[in-house]
Formats: sequence, structure tokens, C-alpha cells
Amino acid sequence: MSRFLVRRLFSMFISIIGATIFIFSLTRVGPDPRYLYIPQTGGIGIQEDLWEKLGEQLGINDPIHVQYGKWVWRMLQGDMGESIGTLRPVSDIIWQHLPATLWLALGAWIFAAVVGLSMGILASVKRATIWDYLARAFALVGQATPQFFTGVLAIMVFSVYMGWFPAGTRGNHDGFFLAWGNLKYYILPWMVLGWPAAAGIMRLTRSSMLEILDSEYIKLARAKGVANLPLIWKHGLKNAIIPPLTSMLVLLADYLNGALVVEIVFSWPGLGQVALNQAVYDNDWPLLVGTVFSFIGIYVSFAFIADLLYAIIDPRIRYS
Amino acid sequence: MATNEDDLRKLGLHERPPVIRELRSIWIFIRSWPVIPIVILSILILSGLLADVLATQDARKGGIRDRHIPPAWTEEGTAEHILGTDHAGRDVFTRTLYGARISLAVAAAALLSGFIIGTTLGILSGYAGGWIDELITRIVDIWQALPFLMVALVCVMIFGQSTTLLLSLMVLLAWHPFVRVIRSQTLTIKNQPYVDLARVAGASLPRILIRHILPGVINTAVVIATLSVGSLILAEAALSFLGAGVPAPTPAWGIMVAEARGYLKTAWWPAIFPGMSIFLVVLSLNFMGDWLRDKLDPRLRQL
Repeated sequence: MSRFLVRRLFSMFISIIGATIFIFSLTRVGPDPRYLYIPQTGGIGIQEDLWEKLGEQLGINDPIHVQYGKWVWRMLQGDMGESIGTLRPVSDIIWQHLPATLWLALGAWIFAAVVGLSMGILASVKRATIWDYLARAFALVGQATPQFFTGVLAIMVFSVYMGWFPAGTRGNHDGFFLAWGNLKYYILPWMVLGWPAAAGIMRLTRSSMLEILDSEYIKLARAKGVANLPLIWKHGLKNAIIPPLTSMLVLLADYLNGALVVEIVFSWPGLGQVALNQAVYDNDWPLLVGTVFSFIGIYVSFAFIADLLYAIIDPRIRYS
Repeated sequence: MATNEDDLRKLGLHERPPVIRELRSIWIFIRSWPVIPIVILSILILSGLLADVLATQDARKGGIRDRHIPPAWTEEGTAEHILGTDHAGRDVFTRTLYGARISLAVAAAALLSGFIIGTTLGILSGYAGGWIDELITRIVDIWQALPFLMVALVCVMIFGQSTTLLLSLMVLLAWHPFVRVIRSQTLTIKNQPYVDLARVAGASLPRILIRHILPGVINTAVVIATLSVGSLILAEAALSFLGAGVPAPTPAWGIMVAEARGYLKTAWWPAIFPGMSIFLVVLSLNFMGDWLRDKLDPRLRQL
């Protein structure tokens, strides 16, 4: 187990190094990196001497690996600079908006896991009945609809016409978290973000269950007279659950891409919203880099936890 | 005799009226071939190709007096704007047609380059082994740890929004699903006796790769391509939605939904029609992908 851990930590480290090199080289391949901070020299922009000073601050005259080293070192110390738009430290803004994104992703993940698993089991046990067809339709639609469109439709139907759920805020968070007054803000974003993943989990669970239910030992158990429920839960599901479980764990990291879109659609005050509506629209480069790296950080650590859990569930993985 | 008839009925073998038999054979045909997805896709591809002919209005011209005209079948609709107009008075039908062109062209270009790059890298990685293999696998790992949409935003900020950038981003997204699967397939094929024999017979490296390895993995590559094209279209739509796609006045489905989002209460049609088009395209492509996978390479069921 410890060898596995070391190997995983090492490749996590490599991933982060690779990602930083990638982003850093993007800034050096493009136009003069100073333009990311200040639109132009002279005129309405910045004066010649200040322009040079900015260049010195950014260290653009240093050799490229020194620039990269300094840049990464500052980030490692948690110093991501100051946001140009708000003049606040980038790390403050990120800490402030991180919980919203994490709650969104986590809730959507739980939704997807519960709905996907139960629908998959139902569809496989009641194969070729109306339940099966309904579950498969749910999966097909979920995997074919862009999340921004599901989100827009959900707001249109459930917020605008029905008026069941509010949209466009995250509420005030008074009192108990799971109270309806707080929860109602979360339901639509969770479902919209979780639907495609639920679809994937459902399909995997279904095919894996069908394969197991068709196997010899299930037939033997049936012939021996094992009752239907223990047959499905103990003999079937216990063996069929590994593939959907793996994909569930891996998917947890994938939610971040979707979270960006869902946050925009629901005006959710999370990191994605900060990245697009504050950083990109206001040309706030330090803030954008900060959000990108927190996304990468969350992704890599989630993937690491997923691998760990997976190794605990299925010991075979440790040795491959 | 009567009992015999009943028995046959129970088994579903009794004589049916010809109409029912006809319908049944059509149904079987539809079930065994992806007829409906092909029809939907051909309609959308044709409308993208023939957008210039089919368009009823100018896709970029609107008018303040034409804002939010509802579709033709509603009470206030006009025959000029079959699917109504958007918040700037532009014709939704025309823009959806041109949107099909952008969406399908971008996805096709990205898929083709991704197919070539990904398959080549996969074969190289599997056949060469050693540090080449290590390097390629690592790059795929790193690339998968990058949140794609965020990287797209970074690129837009550095290079500015353009069609070239969109295409490059899409290629970056398209290549990596191929590498891992093709690599593992190459690993098994590489150890087959016929590859060894070819090597002993003095076949050159390119010849081995192209004549002996490639035919073994091409089916898988085609299956991965059809399975991933749907997600490419979704990604292009998401990029356009976020404002990282083709620059603004060009009609793309994602942009149309993004622009219509603010007016949902008064006008649903500018959002629904492009959104439904994305849905239909991706649904049909996913159907075709599943069907093709079952025909060509059932081992990939888990994908």
C-alpha cells in the first residue's frame, strides 16, 4: 500500500508541475506578458518608465527557467498576487468563493451517485420493462443535452413558470444547512450538474449488473432457492458495483468543468463565476491564474483521494 | 385444430394479417439499423451545407422593430420568421441553420485531426515502449488533469477570441481519448507472431506500423471517434456559451442560447431551437456510436 501511495503522490506531483509549465508557457508564447496586466504602452495606457518597471517586476529579462521558478515559488507560498479589478489579494477572493463551488460539486456528486446507482439497479433487475426504458431514456437525454441548456430549461420551467425554486442566488444561509429555506437554492443546480454523470453511472451499473445476473453462480444461487432480494443485493450488486464505483470516484474530479457552466447559468457565487465574470470580463489576469490553479488543485487532490479509495475497495489495483 | 392455433399464438408464431407483418418488418429494420439518427443527422448536415440556399433572412441583420417576434404558428407570428426572432430582431431559423454549419464543421475538423494525432501517438507509444511510451502517457495524464474550460478561458485572454483558437482548443480536446486505448491494443498486437514474422522477413518500421499494426487498431479508433464526437459538439457549444467560441456576430448554437438566456420570461424560442438542435445532433451521434461499437468492436462496451 505504501509503495502505491508513493507512486500516486509522485504522479500527482508530475501532473501539477506539468500543468504549471503548460500555463506558464502559454503566457510566454503569446504576446508580451505585460499586456496581460496593462493594455498598452503610452497614450491611455502606461508611461514608458513604468512599463519598464513592470517588466522588471515580472522579471521578463531573466532566463525563462528562472522566471518559471520564481513564479511557481510565489504560488507555492500562497501568494498569487493582487487582483487588478478589486485590489484584493487573489487568495482571499478564492477562499471566499471556494465553499460555494465545493458544495455545488459535492451535492451534484451525491445526487448523481444515488440516482445513477438506483436507476441502474432497477433497470437491470426489471430488464426490458417500462422501468428499463425510462431509465435508459433518462440516460440518453442526460448525456446528449448541454448543461447550459438543461440549466436554462430548468430555470424556465421550475423557476419562471412554476415558481417552485428560486434561481440566481445562493440564499442567505440562515440556520441549519439542510433546512428547506437554504436547500431550495441548491436543488436545481445540483440536478443540472449531476444529470450527465448520473446517466453515465446508470449505464455502467446496468451493464455491469446485467453481466453479473447472467453469470453461472447467480443461476446456481437461483436454482438453490435463494430469494430474489438477497440474490440481487448480496450476490449481484456486491460484485457488480466495482465499475460504477470507480467511475463515480473518477467523475468527482470531472464535475469542475460542468460546475463552471452551471455556475454561470445559475449566477452561482463560486469560482467559475469569479473566473468568467470577474477575471475574464474585467481583464484581471492574476485572478484568472489563481482560479485556474485552484481548479487544478481541487482536481488533482480529488483524483488522488479517488485513487486511494479505489485501492482500498479493490486491492488488485495496488499491484498493477 | 383449434388448440393447435392457440398454442401457436402463445408462442407468437400464429399467422398475422399482412399489414401487421409489414409493420413488424419495418420495426425490425428500424431496430437493427440506426435509421432515425441517420435521418436526423442528414437533415442537420444538409441544412448546414445548404444554409445559404435555405436561409429566409440575413443571419446577422436585425431590426429594433422586429425584436422577439414569436414563431409562425403562434398568434402574433409572421410567415417571414418561421421560428421567430431574437432580442436583436434576427431570424432564429436562419441563425440555427448557420449554427449547424459552425458546430458540425468545427467538430468534424477537430475529430479528424484528433483521430490522426491520437491514433499515431497511441501506436507509437505502444510499439516503441521505453521513454517514448512514458513521455506520451505522462502528457496524456497531465492534459487530463487540466480543467479544459478554464484552460480555454486562459487562452482566450492571452491570444484573444478567434476561430483559429477555437479550432486549436478543440483539437487539444479531441486527441487524448484515442491514445490510451490504441496504446493498449497496440501492445497486444505487437506480440502477435505475424508481427514478429514481418520483422524477421525484413519489413521496415513504417511498413510494420502501417500494414500490420494499423489495420488491427483502426476499428477501435473509428469506434472511439464516433463515441467522442458527441462530446466534442457539446464542448464546442459550451465554449461558445462562455464566449470562447467563434467571435460574436457569427451564429453558433451556444452563443444563441447564451444571448437568449436573459429574456426567457418574454421569449422562449430563441433559446429552445438552438438548444434542441444541439440535443438532437448529440443524441443521434451517441446512438450511432453505440450501434457502430456493437458492430465493429463489442469489447469496448465499457466505454
